Amino acid sequence: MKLFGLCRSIFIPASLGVLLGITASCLVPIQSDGAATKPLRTVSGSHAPELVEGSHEYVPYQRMLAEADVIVAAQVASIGKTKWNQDNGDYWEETLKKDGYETIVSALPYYEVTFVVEEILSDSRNLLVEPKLTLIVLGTSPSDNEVSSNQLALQPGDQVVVFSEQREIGWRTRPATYDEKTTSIEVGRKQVMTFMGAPGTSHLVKEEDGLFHAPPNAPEQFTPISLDALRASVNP
Amino acid sequence: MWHKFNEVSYAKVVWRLGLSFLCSIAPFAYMQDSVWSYLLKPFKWSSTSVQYDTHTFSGTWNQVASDSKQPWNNVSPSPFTFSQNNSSANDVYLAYIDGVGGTQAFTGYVCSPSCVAGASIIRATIRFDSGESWYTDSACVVPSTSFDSRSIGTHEFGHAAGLGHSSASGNPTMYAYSSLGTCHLRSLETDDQNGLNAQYP
Repeated sequence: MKLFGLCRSIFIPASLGVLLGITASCLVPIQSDGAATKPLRTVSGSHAPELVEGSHEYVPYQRMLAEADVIVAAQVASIGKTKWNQDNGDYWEETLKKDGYETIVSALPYYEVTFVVEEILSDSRNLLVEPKLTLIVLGTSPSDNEVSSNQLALQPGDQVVVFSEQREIGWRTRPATYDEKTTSIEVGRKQVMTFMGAPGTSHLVKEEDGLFHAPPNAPEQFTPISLDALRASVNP
Repeated sequence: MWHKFNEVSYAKVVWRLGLSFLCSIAPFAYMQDSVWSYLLKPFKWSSTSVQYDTHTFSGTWNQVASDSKQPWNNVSPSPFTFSQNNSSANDVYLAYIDGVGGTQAFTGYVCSPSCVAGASIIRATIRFDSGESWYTDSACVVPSTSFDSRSIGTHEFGHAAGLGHSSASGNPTMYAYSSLGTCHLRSLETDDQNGLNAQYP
């Protein structure tokens, strides 16, 4: 009887512990992204955003095949760390005053993704000048930050087909100014090569079956395709 | 409490534990179904009353911001609300990002001590792309070449509240991608409301 009582005294708190543990484990995947386990890059004493979330236009693959400035079969060489939109890559911020109120205009984060080009499928504007393609991606780098659902999920070494375009982005080349007419803030611009559409879906990845697949987070059904078929699609 | 446990039979204890276990996991098991696909940032505001500054906006864009935050203020039972106060450091403004298409807006977070699990958001800024082709009228008749400012605005205010992108079906406002010529993101879906209620019960 004493032994039974001892068992009960061990079993009941142990059961409660298991119960609490299981309940807590059920909560984890729902309540957090689960990816932010390391401190992120911060800029001491500034208002630097550690993380940005954006609204990105989804561009369907058929449109990218038809309209991208540069389409290449390539291998991912590197995914850079987060930098900020000026030539030296350092964080910047400026305070604009209007009507007695302040606006802190802060730098936009970006990172570079470099590809070793293996085959040019399309380059109608002759934008590629070397067998390397470096794209500027606005946002915080997945290599030093939490990954959001439309961020890039590529790794160095991945075989891909990349859809890219030339685009002008906000780039600090002069002090920030406020335009009363458009009620917008301007710091300068720069012409860069970037993904066409959302960064996380503007490429196809070669899988074990030898075909190129859309990333799992792409919102359209895309039938995996061979490189030969892609060549034919780009240059019908 | 412990004493009372000793007074009931072992079988009853086991039964009650089993029952309480099932009751405790049932709602969470359901929430992991694809219907419940909101994603919460692992950090959030410590207060449920958050202010924002739109003093650089015109009257039109001020109305866009006001209309964009309102659906979140209407979520019940969450006490979370946004309100305009131009002395706030949570700036909402227009600045050039990347022109037509591409990225329509960004929300940036500053947290204390850092944007990791359990941290507090201390500043959130929303930047709309001044180079975008925006539709700013309140009527839901968006040209096929424009993005609806209220749809994008509602999505960004959701980020500012501490919500990530949702993978739920049924066009939730927090869906990861935006489309030209549509205005359906203006109104919150159940998934969006559940997200805010989970972040700020």
